[in-house]
Parts: sequence; structure tokens; C-alpha cells
Amino acid sequence: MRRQRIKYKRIIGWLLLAPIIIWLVCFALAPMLYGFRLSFYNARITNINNPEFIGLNNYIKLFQSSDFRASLLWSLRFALIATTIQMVVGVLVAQLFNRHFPGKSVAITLFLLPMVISPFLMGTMFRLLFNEFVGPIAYLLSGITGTTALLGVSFVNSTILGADSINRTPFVFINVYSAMQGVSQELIEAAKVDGANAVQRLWHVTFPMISSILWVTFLEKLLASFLVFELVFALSAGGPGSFTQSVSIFIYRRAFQRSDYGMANAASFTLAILLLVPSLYLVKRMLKGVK
Amino acid sequence: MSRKTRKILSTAAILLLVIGILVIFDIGVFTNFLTSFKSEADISSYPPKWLFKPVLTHYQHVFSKGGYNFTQYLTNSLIIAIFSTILATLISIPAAYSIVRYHGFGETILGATMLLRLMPALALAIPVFLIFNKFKLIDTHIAIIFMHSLFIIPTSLLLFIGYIQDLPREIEEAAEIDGANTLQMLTNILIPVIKPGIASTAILGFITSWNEYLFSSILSFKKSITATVGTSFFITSYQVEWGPMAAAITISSIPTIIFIFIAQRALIRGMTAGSVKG
Repeated sequence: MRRQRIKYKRIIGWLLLAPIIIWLVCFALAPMLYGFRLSFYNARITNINNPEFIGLNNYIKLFQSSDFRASLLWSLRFALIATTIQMVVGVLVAQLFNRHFPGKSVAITLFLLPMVISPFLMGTMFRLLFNEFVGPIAYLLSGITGTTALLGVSFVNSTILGADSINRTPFVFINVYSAMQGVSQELIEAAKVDGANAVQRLWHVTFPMISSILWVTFLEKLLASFLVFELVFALSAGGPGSFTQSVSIFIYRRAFQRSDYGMANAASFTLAILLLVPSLYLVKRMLKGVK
Repeated sequence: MSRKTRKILSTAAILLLVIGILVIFDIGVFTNFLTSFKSEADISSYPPKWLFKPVLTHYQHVFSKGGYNFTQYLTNSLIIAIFSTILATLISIPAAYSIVRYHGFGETILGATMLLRLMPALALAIPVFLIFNKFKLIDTHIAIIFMHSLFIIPTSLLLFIGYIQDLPREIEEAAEIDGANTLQMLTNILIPVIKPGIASTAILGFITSWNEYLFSSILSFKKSITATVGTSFFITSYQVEWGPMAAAITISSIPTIIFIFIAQRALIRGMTAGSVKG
């Protein structure tokens, strides 16, 4: 009787999971395996039903391509710089907001506003605002930069960093701010009584308490920035030329502009494998938080 | 200086700093909003005008331009966002329940959905495009709904797990003694209790779908184009229509902006899910 009940419970456990498993298999696992297979083929839109097997050729061509290397490098640099800026600004703003002041709730809403707008719309928006001839923001900034050509070679990287930071810093902020709210106020008061100044309190009391959230947020941000696509695609489309070609834009161009699906898949799986270890580590950390 | 004046001064300093930060972060959205009301001449005036006579021509143009069916795009976005959110909710609730109460294989599934969130979207986008193309599903709502529901699931699942963990087990045990089966337990007891949680999770799902660009754009070319994708059509190889584009962006971002004003707390819970407790 008991054994039967346990068996029955197990079946129900599986049944409840069935829809999500079907979803993951049909729309994630199967397509990815198909994509992985295609990375060993010369697959164009014309021969997609009958692609020609070419072994590791796509991968070899990929690693020889200076275009790919440049895009990897661009993404890596972008990820490191953008994440650093956004972590620092996010933590500082969180620290500023971690006290009472009039109008705080509205201020938080307004600060989070850029985050709920689609990165693609944000990019398109900034493409207008940073436009050399009609962009109001470009005009405002020209006092500092000396030119309104903010999407030209000399400024486009900084422009993308700026736009991405406006779009993504609120994500860091909200994670850090929520964590700071959980740090007991008594502990901070005690440090105050002991004569610790604001910087010391942040460094010695708050940071150790929220270090694991900072670490997870940093990693998540780093991985996401490395794969940045929509914002850059809308803002500069990887240009001028391929000057701001992030690795995702490289793949997109290969696939949807040159219809070289084999090569594009080879590139995206190289990327997936590169990111697999840090991603699995991050998933493990997150799972620990759920339990 | 008395204590009181010092306190007022420090509050004033904080407020000034906060306002400065908000100006930097919101000036883009605000300026874009202004631009959408500028006449053609005011948009191209140099230096840019901050005071001008507002006009509605761009909004009229967006809705009446030949070959550009913005009403259709907005309707598509709405349909796709609603149905993919419903699908994701229907899939996530039983899965979350199984993960919390039955353990076993559930955790692997949870890990897999989290991994999905971190993997390069293009590793999925290219094969999905080719497969849907083969099945003649390109440019249908259902194709985009399938993919969007997949992207809504990870966050929904995490949130539902949290809500179910917060519930006292006694409720379910009492129902079990009364002879309720699992399905009855889910529909009659669990779902009514976590209703507010479902609402806020759904808002987040709606925003995810509404904002998505990559899959919406590669899986559509005419009938199922969404508003987010449609805003880019004002950029053609020989000209950019800044005014209508600004108007289209403003309209497309209104739903998400409304949501952050009415459901901020729910959004924060959703956006910090997974990393906060980590």
C-alpha cells in the first residue's frame, strides 16, 4: 500500500513536469541540437534541406577569421568595461537610496524606468538622440566632446557604453538595493557608534553582508553584456563598418545577411561552449538561493 | 549650526544628487517624448529647440501611413504578449509545484531553464528560424508565442517556486485528508491563494514578450510584426523619419511604463528573482 502510494506520487511529480519538459525539448533542446549539427555542414538558404557535410571546416574558417576574433575582442572589452561601470554606479546609487528622503518611492520608479523599456527601443531612441545633425543629446554633449558625431569612430564605443549603462544600471541597482534593505540597520548603527565613517560602513559592514549578491549580479551582468545584441544592433548596427561588431552581431550578420547558417551556428556554439562553465557555476549559485 | 539646519541641508544635498541622477537616466526617454511632438522643422533646427509648439502630426502619420500598419503591429504585440504569458503561466505553475513538493528531477529542469537564460540567444534563434521556416510557421502569431513563452518561463518558474514555498503545508495536508486529488489541489486551493503572485508574474511576462526583439523580428515579415519591431521601419536606406519614429517608440513603450508605475513592487520582486537570494 505504502509503496504503491510512493509510486503514485512519483508519477504525479512527473506529470506536473510534463508540459515544461515538452516545451524545453521542443523549443530549446531540439533546435539547439539541430543547430549544432548544422555547424558541421555547408548550409545556405538554397540547400537547407540537403546541406553538404564539411566536417570541421566551419570551425577552422571561423578561427582563422580576423573578423570573428575582432568581434570576440570587442565583446570582451565591452563586457568588462560596461559591467565595471554599471556595478560601481549601481552600488553607489543603491547606497544613496538606502536612506529616507522625501519622494523616494517616485525616485525609485523613475530610476528603474529605462530598464523596462526594450533594449531595442532604447537603442533606436538613442540613435535619434545621438544623431550628428538632429540629435538633441548629441548637441548637449558637444560642449564636452567637441563634436556632435557621437556615432562616428572616435565616440561610438563610449556612446554605446553610455546607452547600455542607462538601460542596464537599474538592474544592478535594484539587486543591490534589495540586498541592502536586508542588512540590519542595527549593525550599521553600531558601526556608527564605534566611529566608522560612511565609506568604512559600506566597505566593512554592508559589503561583506551582500557580497554573494554582488558576485552573482556581477557574473550575470558580465555574461549578458558579453552577448549584447539588441541595443547595439539598433544603435549602431555594428558600424561604422564592423567597428562595433559585437560577437552576437557577427553571428546575426553571418546568418541573416549572408545566409551562411553553418558558419553562424559554428560561431554560436563556440560561444555557448565558452560560456558553459561560468553559466553552470552561476546556475549552481542561483539554485542554492532557491532552496 | 543647529542640528535641525544641518539635517535640512543634508537632505537638500541628497535630493539634489538624486535629481541629478534621475536627469541623466531619464533624459533620453524624456527627450524622445518631446521630439515626437515637434514639427518637422523643429526637429531639424540647429541648435535643438527645447521650447516649441507641440503638434500631433507624427502620431497621425504613424497610424495612417500607407503600407505601415501600426495598429496591426500593436494588436499583434498585445495578442502575442497575452497568449505567451498565459501559456507560460499554465506551464510554470504545475512545474513549480512539482519542484517544491515532489523534488526529484524537478531541480534539473529548474537548472536547465536558468541555463537557457544565460545561453547565447542566437544559438537558438538560427535553428528555430530554419525549423519554423520548414514547417511554414514563419509570420504566424503562434511561432512567436511559442518562443516568447519559453523566455517567460524561467522567471515565472522562479517566482512561483517562491510563492509556493511561502505557503504553509497545512493547507494542502488538510485538503489531502478531505480527499482532494492533485489537480483539485492546484486549481481549488493553490491557485486562489497565490493569485496576487500570478498577477505580478504575468505583468513581468507581458513586459518580456512586449519588449522582445530578436525572435519577433526573424519570425515575422508581414502579418505578425510586433510594435517593437515595427518602430525600426522608419529607418530606410535613403531616409530616416525621425518624428514618426519617436512617436512610434513613445507609443510602444507606454504599456511597460504604465506597468512600472502601477506595479513597481511586483516588478522588483521579479527582476531580483534568482540573484537576490543567491
